[in-house]
Amino acid sequence: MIVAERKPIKEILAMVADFKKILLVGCKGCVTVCNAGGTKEVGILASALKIARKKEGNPIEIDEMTLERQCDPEYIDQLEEPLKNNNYDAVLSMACSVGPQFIARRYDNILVYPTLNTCFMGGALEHGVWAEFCQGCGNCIIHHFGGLCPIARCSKSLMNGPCGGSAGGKCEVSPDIDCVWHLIYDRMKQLGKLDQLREIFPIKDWSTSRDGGPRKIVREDLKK
Amino acid sequence: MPDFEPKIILFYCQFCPDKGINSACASNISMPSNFRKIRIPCTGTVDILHLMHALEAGADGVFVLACKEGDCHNETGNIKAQKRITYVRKLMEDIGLEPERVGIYYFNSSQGPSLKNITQEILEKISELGPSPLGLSEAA
Repeated sequence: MIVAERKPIKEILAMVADFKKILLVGCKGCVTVCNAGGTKEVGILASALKIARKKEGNPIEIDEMTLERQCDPEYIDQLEEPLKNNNYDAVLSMACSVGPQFIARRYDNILVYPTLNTCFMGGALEHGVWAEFCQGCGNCIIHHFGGLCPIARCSKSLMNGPCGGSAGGKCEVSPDIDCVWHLIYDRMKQLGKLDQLREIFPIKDWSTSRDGGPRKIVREDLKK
Repeated sequence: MPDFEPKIILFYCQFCPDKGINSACASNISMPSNFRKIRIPCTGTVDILHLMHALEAGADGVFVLACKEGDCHNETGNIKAQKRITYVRKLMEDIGLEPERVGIYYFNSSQGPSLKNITQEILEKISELGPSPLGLSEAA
Protein backbone atom coordinates (compact mmCIF):
# COMPACT_ATOMS: atom_id res chain seq x y z
CA MET A 1 0.00 0.00 0.00
CA ILE A 2 0.94 3.63 -0.21
CA VAL A 3 2.00 4.82 3.22
CA ALA A 4 1.44 8.43 4.19
CA GLU A 5 1.38 10.59 7.29
CA ARG A 6 -0.46 13.75 8.21
CA LYS A 7 1.30 17.03 7.61
CA PRO A 8 2.11 19.06 10.73
CA ILE A 9 -1.09 20.69 11.97
CA LYS A 10 0.49 24.16 11.81
CA GLU A 11 1.19 23.70 8.10
CA ILE A 12 -2.44 22.73 7.50
CA LEU A 13 -3.68 25.65 9.60
CA ALA A 14 -1.58 28.01 7.47
CA MET A 15 -3.16 26.53 4.32
CA VAL A 16 -6.68 27.29 5.54
CA ALA A 17 -5.88 30.59 7.25
CA ASP A 18 -8.01 32.63 4.84
CA PHE A 19 -10.89 30.17 4.52
CA LYS A 20 -14.24 30.10 6.29
CA LYS A 21 -15.72 26.92 4.89
CA ILE A 22 -13.90 23.87 3.57
CA LEU A 23 -14.57 20.29 2.55
CA LEU A 24 -12.22 17.73 4.10
CA VAL A 25 -12.14 14.53 2.06
CA GLY A 26 -10.70 11.24 3.28
CA CYS A 27 -9.98 8.06 1.34
CA LYS A 28 -10.96 4.50 2.26
CA GLY A 29 -7.97 3.03 0.42
CA CYS A 30 -4.33 2.75 1.51
CA VAL A 31 -4.42 5.78 3.81
CA THR A 32 -7.23 4.26 5.84
CA VAL A 33 -5.17 1.11 6.31
CA CYS A 34 -2.14 3.11 7.41
CA ASN A 35 -4.30 5.27 9.71
CA ALA A 36 -3.43 8.51 7.97
CA GLY A 37 -6.51 9.61 6.03
CA GLY A 38 -9.57 7.47 6.72
CA THR A 39 -12.90 8.52 8.20
CA LYS A 40 -11.48 8.63 11.70
CA GLU A 41 -8.45 10.71 10.77
CA VAL A 42 -10.73 13.10 8.86
CA GLY A 43 -12.74 13.53 12.08
CA ILE A 44 -9.64 14.14 14.19
CA LEU A 45 -8.16 16.68 11.77
CA ALA A 46 -11.50 18.47 11.36
CA SER A 47 -11.88 18.66 15.14
CA ALA A 48 -8.31 19.94 15.63
CA LEU A 49 -8.73 22.62 12.96
CA LYS A 50 -12.07 23.72 14.39
CA ILE A 51 -10.63 23.92 17.92
CA ALA A 52 -7.62 25.94 16.72
CA ARG A 53 -9.76 28.37 14.76
CA LYS A 54 -12.45 28.71 17.44
CA LYS A 55 -9.69 29.46 19.93
CA GLU A 56 -8.50 32.32 17.68
CA GLY A 57 -12.04 33.66 17.52
CA ASN A 58 -12.12 32.92 13.80
CA PRO A 59 -14.23 29.75 13.47
CA ILE A 60 -14.12 27.59 10.38
CA GLU A 61 -16.88 25.40 9.02
CA ILE A 62 -15.68 21.98 7.93
CA ASP A 63 -17.74 19.35 6.14
CA GLU A 64 -16.34 15.83 6.28
CA MET A 65 -16.56 13.15 3.62
CA THR A 66 -14.65 9.96 2.90
CA LEU A 67 -14.56 8.51 -0.60
CA GLU A 68 -14.14 4.85 -1.45
CA ARG A 69 -10.93 5.81 -3.23
CA GLN A 70 -9.52 9.08 -4.51
CA CYS A 71 -7.52 7.47 -7.29
CA ASP A 72 -10.51 6.49 -9.45
CA PRO A 73 -12.54 9.11 -11.37
CA GLU A 74 -15.93 7.50 -10.56
CA TYR A 75 -15.43 8.20 -6.86
CA ILE A 76 -14.12 11.71 -7.46
CA ASP A 77 -17.40 12.33 -9.31
CA GLN A 78 -19.19 11.94 -5.96
CA LEU A 79 -17.82 15.34 -4.94
CA GLU A 80 -19.85 17.06 -7.64
CA GLU A 81 -23.05 17.49 -5.59
CA PRO A 82 -21.40 18.71 -2.38
CA LEU A 83 -19.26 21.14 -4.36
CA LYS A 84 -22.27 22.41 -6.29
CA ASN A 85 -24.48 22.79 -3.23
CA ASN A 86 -21.96 24.42 -0.92
CA ASN A 87 -19.85 27.45 -1.23
CA TYR A 88 -16.56 25.90 -0.18
CA ASP A 89 -13.44 28.02 -0.20
CA ALA A 90 -11.29 24.95 -0.76
CA VAL A 91 -11.11 21.16 -0.68
CA LEU A 92 -8.55 19.51 1.58
CA SER A 93 -7.69 15.95 0.65
CA MET A 94 -6.56 13.34 3.15
CA ALA A 95 -5.50 10.88 0.46
CA CYS A 96 -2.04 10.23 -0.91
CA SER A 97 -0.90 12.84 -3.40
CA VAL A 98 -2.90 11.12 -6.15
CA GLY A 99 -6.18 12.13 -4.48
CA PRO A 100 -5.80 15.93 -4.50
CA GLN A 101 -4.44 15.74 -8.05
CA PHE A 102 -7.49 13.78 -9.20
CA ILE A 103 -9.78 16.30 -7.50
CA ALA A 104 -7.92 19.23 -9.11
CA ARG A 105 -8.04 17.46 -12.49
CA ARG A 106 -11.80 16.93 -12.26
CA TYR A 107 -12.88 20.28 -10.77
CA ASP A 108 -11.13 23.28 -12.23
CA ASN A 109 -12.85 25.95 -10.13
CA ILE A 110 -11.94 24.93 -6.60
CA LEU A 111 -8.67 25.18 -4.70
CA VAL A 112 -7.30 21.79 -3.60
CA TYR A 113 -4.78 21.19 -0.81
CA PRO A 114 -3.00 18.04 0.38
CA THR A 115 -3.04 17.32 4.11
CA LEU A 116 -0.84 14.23 3.95
CA ASN A 117 2.75 13.66 3.00
CA THR A 118 2.93 10.60 0.78
CA CYS A 119 5.94 8.68 2.02
CA PHE A 120 6.47 5.30 0.38
CA MET A 121 5.12 1.96 -0.80
CA GLY A 122 5.35 -0.41 2.09
CA GLY A 123 3.68 -2.57 4.67
CA ALA A 124 2.99 -2.78 8.38
CA LEU A 125 5.77 -4.41 10.42
CA GLU A 126 3.44 -4.28 13.40
CA HIS A 127 0.43 -2.20 14.40
CA GLY A 128 1.52 1.43 14.08
CA VAL A 129 4.85 0.71 12.35
CA TRP A 130 5.24 0.84 8.57
CA ALA A 131 8.34 0.36 6.45
CA GLU A 132 9.30 0.85 2.83
CA PHE A 133 9.41 -2.29 0.72
CA CYS A 134 9.11 -1.14 -2.89
CA GLN A 135 10.42 1.75 -4.92
CA GLY A 136 8.29 1.08 -8.01
CA CYS A 137 11.27 0.62 -10.34
CA GLY A 138 8.99 -1.00 -12.92
CA ASN A 139 11.06 -4.16 -13.33
CA CYS A 140 10.92 -6.40 -10.28
CA ILE A 141 14.06 -8.44 -9.63
CA ILE A 142 13.52 -9.57 -6.03
CA HIS A 143 13.54 -13.26 -7.02
CA HIS A 144 17.30 -12.92 -7.56
CA PHE A 145 17.71 -11.86 -3.95
CA GLY A 146 15.65 -14.33 -1.98
CA GLY A 147 12.50 -12.27 -2.36
CA LEU A 148 13.99 -9.15 -0.76
CA CYS A 149 14.42 -5.88 -2.59
CA PRO A 150 17.90 -4.35 -2.55
CA ILE A 151 16.65 -1.29 -4.41
CA ALA A 152 14.05 -0.14 -1.88
CA ARG A 153 15.59 -1.62 1.24
CA CYS A 154 19.32 -0.93 0.76
CA SER A 155 20.14 2.71 1.49
CA LYS A 156 22.45 2.72 -1.54
CA SER A 157 20.30 0.42 -3.71
CA LEU A 158 23.30 -1.87 -4.20
CA MET A 159 22.72 -5.01 -6.23
CA ASN A 160 25.97 -6.90 -5.80
CA GLY A 161 26.42 -7.28 -2.08
CA PRO A 162 26.66 -4.97 0.91
CA CYS A 163 28.80 -1.89 1.23
CA GLY A 164 31.46 -1.49 3.90
CA GLY A 165 28.99 0.18 6.22
CA SER A 166 27.07 -2.96 7.12
CA ALA A 167 27.77 -3.98 10.71
CA GLY A 168 25.97 -6.41 12.96
CA GLY A 169 23.14 -6.71 10.46
CA LYS A 170 22.48 -2.98 10.56
CA CYS A 171 22.94 -0.22 7.99
CA GLU A 172 25.46 2.55 8.59
CA VAL A 173 22.77 5.11 7.83
CA SER A 174 20.88 4.22 11.02
CA PRO A 175 20.88 1.44 13.58
CA ASP A 176 17.11 1.31 13.03
CA ILE A 177 17.60 0.11 9.45
CA ASP A 178 18.31 -3.55 8.81
CA CYS A 179 21.04 -4.16 6.25
CA VAL A 180 19.01 -5.85 3.54
CA TRP A 181 22.14 -7.52 2.20
CA HIS A 182 22.62 -9.19 5.58
CA LEU A 183 19.01 -10.39 5.34
CA ILE A 184 19.51 -11.51 1.73
CA TYR A 185 22.61 -13.50 2.70
CA ASP A 186 20.86 -15.19 5.63
CA ARG A 187 17.85 -16.06 3.50
CA MET A 188 19.85 -17.38 0.55
CA LYS A 189 21.92 -19.47 2.94
CA GLN A 190 18.75 -20.91 4.47
CA LEU A 191 17.42 -21.65 1.00
CA GLY A 192 20.71 -23.29 -0.01
CA LYS A 193 21.10 -20.77 -2.82
CA LEU A 194 24.24 -18.90 -1.75
CA ASP A 195 25.89 -19.75 -5.06
CA GLN A 196 23.36 -17.55 -6.80
CA LEU A 197 24.88 -14.54 -5.05
CA ARG A 198 28.22 -15.18 -6.79
CA GLU A 199 26.67 -14.12 -10.05
CA ILE A 200 27.35 -10.49 -10.85
CA PHE A 201 24.08 -8.70 -11.35
CA PRO A 202 24.34 -6.59 -14.50
CA ILE A 203 23.76 -2.86 -14.51
CA LYS A 204 20.04 -2.39 -14.11
CA ASP A 205 18.00 -0.83 -16.87
CA TRP A 206 16.36 2.11 -15.15
CA SER A 207 14.28 3.14 -18.15
CA THR A 208 11.26 1.46 -16.54
CA SER A 209 11.76 3.60 -13.45
CA ARG A 210 11.45 7.38 -13.23
CA ASP A 211 14.30 7.81 -15.72
CA GLY A 212 11.75 7.45 -18.49
CA GLY A 213 9.61 10.32 -17.14
CA PRO A 214 6.08 9.96 -15.73
CA ARG A 215 4.85 6.43 -16.38
CA LYS A 216 1.60 5.12 -17.73
CA ILE A 217 0.15 1.64 -18.17
CA VAL A 218 -2.39 1.06 -20.93
CA ARG A 219 -4.42 -2.17 -20.97
CA GLU A 220 -6.19 -2.30 -24.30
CA ASP A 221 -8.30 -5.26 -23.11
CA LEU A 222 -9.79 -3.11 -20.36
CA LYS A 223 -9.87 0.26 -22.06
CA LYS A 224 -13.20 1.54 -23.38
CA MET B 1 -11.24 33.83 38.98
CA PRO B 2 -13.61 33.21 41.88
CA ASP B 3 -16.72 32.46 39.78
CA PHE B 4 -15.08 29.93 37.52
CA GLU B 5 -16.53 26.47 37.95
CA PRO B 6 -14.68 24.17 35.56
CA LYS B 7 -16.69 21.76 33.44
CA ILE B 8 -14.87 18.45 33.52
CA ILE B 9 -15.61 15.40 31.41
CA LEU B 10 -14.46 12.20 33.13
CA PHE B 11 -14.38 8.89 31.31
CA TYR B 12 -14.04 6.03 33.78
CA CYS B 13 -13.72 2.30 33.42
CA GLN B 14 -16.54 0.05 34.64
CA PHE B 15 -14.11 -2.17 36.51
CA CYS B 16 -11.59 -0.89 39.11
CA PRO B 17 -12.38 2.86 38.89
CA ASP B 18 -16.13 2.23 39.08
CA LYS B 19 -15.67 0.10 42.20
CA GLY B 20 -13.35 2.75 43.63
CA ILE B 21 -15.95 5.48 43.03
CA ASN B 22 -18.62 3.33 44.71
CA SER B 23 -16.36 2.68 47.66
CA ALA B 24 -15.64 6.41 47.91
CA CYS B 25 -19.38 7.09 47.94
CA ALA B 26 -19.74 4.59 50.78
CA SER B 27 -17.23 6.72 52.68
CA ASN B 28 -19.27 9.84 51.91
CA ILE B 29 -16.78 11.07 49.31
CA SER B 30 -18.73 12.10 46.29
CA MET B 31 -17.73 13.30 42.86
CA PRO B 32 -17.96 17.10 42.53
CA SER B 33 -21.11 18.16 40.69
CA ASN B 34 -19.17 19.83 37.88
CA PHE B 35 -17.69 16.49 36.82
CA ARG B 36 -19.70 14.89 34.05
CA LYS B 37 -18.98 11.18 34.45
CA ILE B 38 -19.08 8.77 31.52
CA ARG B 39 -18.86 5.10 32.47
CA ILE B 40 -17.24 3.03 29.74
CA PRO B 41 -16.55 -0.70 29.31
CA CYS B 42 -12.76 -0.19 29.34
CA THR B 43 -10.53 2.87 28.97
CA GLY B 44 -9.19 1.17 25.83
CA THR B 45 -12.49 2.22 24.23
CA VAL B 46 -11.80 5.92 24.75
CA ASP B 47 -11.04 7.16 21.30
CA ILE B 48 -9.02 10.22 20.31
CA LEU B 49 -12.21 11.54 18.71
CA HIS B 50 -14.12 11.32 22.03
CA LEU B 51 -11.46 13.44 23.73
CA MET B 52 -11.30 15.91 20.85
CA HIS B 53 -15.07 16.31 20.61
CA ALA B 54 -15.32 16.97 24.34
CA LEU B 55 -12.70 19.71 24.04
CA GLU B 56 -14.32 21.07 20.91
CA ALA B 57 -17.67 21.25 22.74
CA GLY B 58 -16.00 23.50 25.29
CA ALA B 59 -15.07 21.20 28.17
CA ASP B 60 -12.50 22.88 30.40
CA GLY B 61 -10.84 19.53 31.08
CA VAL B 62 -11.15 15.97 29.80
CA PHE B 63 -9.81 13.17 31.95
CA VAL B 64 -9.73 9.40 32.02
CA LEU B 65 -9.85 7.30 35.17
CA ALA B 66 -8.22 3.98 34.36
CA CYS B 67 -7.32 0.73 36.10
CA LYS B 68 -3.75 0.63 37.33
CA GLU B 69 -1.09 -0.91 35.10
CA GLY B 70 -1.45 -4.68 35.17
CA ASP B 71 -5.04 -4.49 36.44
CA CYS B 72 -6.81 -3.87 33.13
CA HIS B 73 -9.43 -6.58 32.57
CA ASN B 74 -8.67 -6.38 28.87
CA GLU B 75 -4.91 -6.41 29.53
CA THR B 76 -3.87 -3.26 27.67
CA GLY B 77 -6.89 -0.94 27.63
CA ASN B 78 -5.31 1.48 30.10
CA ILE B 79 -2.04 1.52 28.12
CA LYS B 80 -3.94 2.31 24.93
CA ALA B 81 -5.80 5.09 26.73
CA GLN B 82 -2.49 6.54 27.94
CA LYS B 83 -1.13 6.56 24.37
CA ARG B 84 -4.24 8.29 23.05
CA ILE B 85 -4.05 10.89 25.81
CA THR B 86 -0.42 11.52 24.83
CA TYR B 87 -1.46 11.90 21.18
CA VAL B 88 -4.21 14.40 22.02
CA ARG B 89 -1.92 16.36 24.35
CA LYS B 90 0.64 16.70 21.57
CA LEU B 91 -2.06 17.78 19.14
CA MET B 92 -3.35 20.34 21.67
CA GLU B 93 0.16 21.66 22.13
CA ASP B 94 0.55 22.03 18.37
CA ILE B 95 -2.62 24.10 18.07
CA GLY B 96 -1.86 26.19 21.13
CA LEU B 97 -4.35 24.76 23.61
CA GLU B 98 -3.01 23.81 27.04
CA PRO B 99 -2.25 20.06 26.93
CA GLU B 100 -2.83 19.88 30.71
CA ARG B 101 -6.55 20.06 30.00
CA VAL B 102 -6.36 16.39 29.08
CA GLY B 103 -5.03 13.69 31.37
CA ILE B 104 -5.26 10.23 32.83
CA TYR B 105 -5.35 8.99 36.42
CA TYR B 106 -5.06 5.45 37.66
CA PHE B 107 -7.42 4.35 40.37
CA ASN B 108 -8.45 0.99 41.80
CA SER B 109 -11.24 -0.34 43.94
CA SER B 110 -9.29 -0.15 47.20
CA GLN B 111 -8.43 3.52 46.71
CA GLY B 112 -11.89 4.97 47.29
CA PRO B 113 -10.76 7.71 49.70
CA SER B 114 -8.09 8.98 47.28
CA LEU B 115 -10.83 9.94 44.81
CA LYS B 116 -11.05 13.24 46.65
CA ASN B 117 -7.35 13.91 46.04
CA ILE B 118 -7.70 13.14 42.33
CA THR B 119 -10.75 15.37 41.79
CA GLN B 120 -9.13 18.10 43.87
CA GLU B 121 -5.95 17.91 41.80
CA ILE B 122 -7.94 18.10 38.55
CA LEU B 123 -9.96 21.07 39.81
CA GLU B 124 -6.86 22.92 40.95
CA LYS B 125 -5.10 22.27 37.65
CA ILE B 126 -8.03 23.42 35.53
CA SER B 127 -8.82 26.39 37.81
CA GLU B 128 -5.23 27.50 37.36
CA LEU B 129 -5.56 27.25 33.57
CA GLY B 130 -8.90 29.08 33.61
CA PRO B 131 -11.90 28.52 31.33
CA SER B 132 -11.42 26.82 28.00
CA PRO B 133 -10.49 29.48 25.43
CA LEU B 134 -13.15 27.99 23.19
CA GLY B 135 -15.51 29.95 25.42
CA LEU B 136 -18.31 27.44 25.32
CA SER B 137 -18.00 25.82 28.73
CA GLU B 138 -21.77 26.19 29.20
CA ALA B 139 -22.28 23.74 26.35
CA ALA B 140 -20.05 21.03 27.81
